[in-house]
Amino acid sequence: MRDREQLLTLIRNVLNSNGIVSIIDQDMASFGYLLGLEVAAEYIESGSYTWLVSYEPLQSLLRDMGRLGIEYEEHLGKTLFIFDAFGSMKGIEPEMDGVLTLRGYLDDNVFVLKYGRLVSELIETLEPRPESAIVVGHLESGICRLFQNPLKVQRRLWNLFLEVPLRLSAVKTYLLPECPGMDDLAYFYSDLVIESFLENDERKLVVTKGGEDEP
Amino acid sequence: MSLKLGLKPVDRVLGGVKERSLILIHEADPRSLGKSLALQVMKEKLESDNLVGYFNIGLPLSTFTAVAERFGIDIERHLRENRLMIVDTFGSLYNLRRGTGNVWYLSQPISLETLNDKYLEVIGAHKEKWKRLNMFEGRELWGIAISISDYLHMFGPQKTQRYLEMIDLQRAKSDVYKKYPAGTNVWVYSGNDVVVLPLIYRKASYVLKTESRITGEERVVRTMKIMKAPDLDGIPTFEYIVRRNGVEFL
Repeated sequence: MRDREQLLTLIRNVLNSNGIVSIIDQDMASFGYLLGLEVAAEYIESGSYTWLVSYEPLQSLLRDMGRLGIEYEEHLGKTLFIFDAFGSMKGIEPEMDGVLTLRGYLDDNVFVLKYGRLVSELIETLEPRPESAIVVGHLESGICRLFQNPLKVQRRLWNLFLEVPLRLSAVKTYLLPECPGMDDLAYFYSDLVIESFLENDERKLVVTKGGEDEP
Repeated sequence: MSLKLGLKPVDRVLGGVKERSLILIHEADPRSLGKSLALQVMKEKLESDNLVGYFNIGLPLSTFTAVAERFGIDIERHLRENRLMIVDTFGSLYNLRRGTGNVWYLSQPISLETLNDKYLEVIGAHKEKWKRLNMFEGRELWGIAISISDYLHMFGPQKTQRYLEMIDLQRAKSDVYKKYPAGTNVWVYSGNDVVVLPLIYRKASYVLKTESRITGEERVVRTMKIMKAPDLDGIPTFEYIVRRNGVEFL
């Protein structure tokens, strides 16, 4: 059994070696995904390049960041970029610097193509040119609400991740009941998986993959 | 003829698996990491200089390659040394092609109605290459597919069921399996659907089911059960852990 601080250390170790961490909430009241934002906060506030992807309405993400006391405003548009996947699919124009969306016609295929282009163009404009970055997939289970074939989109987005010419690490969060089946790829690809669930009115965070190699 | 599968309990309890048989790894839940057992078989077979055809169905190939490399399988080297060939269905469908040798793509358009013919085309072409290089001599031939269940997301359950019902007959008639050696196959299937999975349970000679649970001590226990094998009584169960570069049975 690990306490929250031990889990954070484990996550940091994986991210620092360019690994992938998935946090899977088994029910909506377990709020394990906040651990993902808590980790992201350390990278955001230290000025590391951070690509935060929101599959939730942007205000919901910003509210969660506010509640956690994450000081993101001064980094937004400099080292922190928020890609509003939800806003892109819903045709919502971004109103803040550093928040990016896709415009025009979008379906499952076009989204992936335009998204890949947006990431490449952004990397070209950054000064200094980043060598590494952290990707935070905030509640990727939202993909199920946005796309016709969510599992296909999830897989193609992971393919893009591997094509980016930077050293990337990632923390991805899911509310599994919202998008069953997303844990298949998450388990296969992640170095570390943490599941969050309620048991006897207690919140549990359990390392379910990656714990065996721990020293 | 019996072949070692490369999973110790199966080899110990069953004495290996019959050549040209189908072994289903049923990953009942993703947390059980059943795909790692297929990776373990692939690793063992490639490291002992056998021939492997990997059928990449529902994953970007780059994703599979990254995971396999982390698992300790030197994909590039095995491709280069001709003992590994890959058929990339996902890349063929979504036009994600890479120029590496011994990776095959299916020609468009791809549907389940034409898929088997297209597989036979590339399998035949590659077996001809292996024959020309005299690679069959003294080597086992394995086919590994991750994951058959991905067809459900790609084409739907009913079409997948029809496809799997028909391929036996189509393959029995195909020259590819008469002219060249036929392999021993390992299929991974994730999930618990009741449309396609029962069909594969019947079709396979061996069924290895992987499951997991979280204990009261917040530890994950992963088990593999031999659900089906020729002449097997009972359901032997084995616990395992998955390390970064291999599966370890306890």
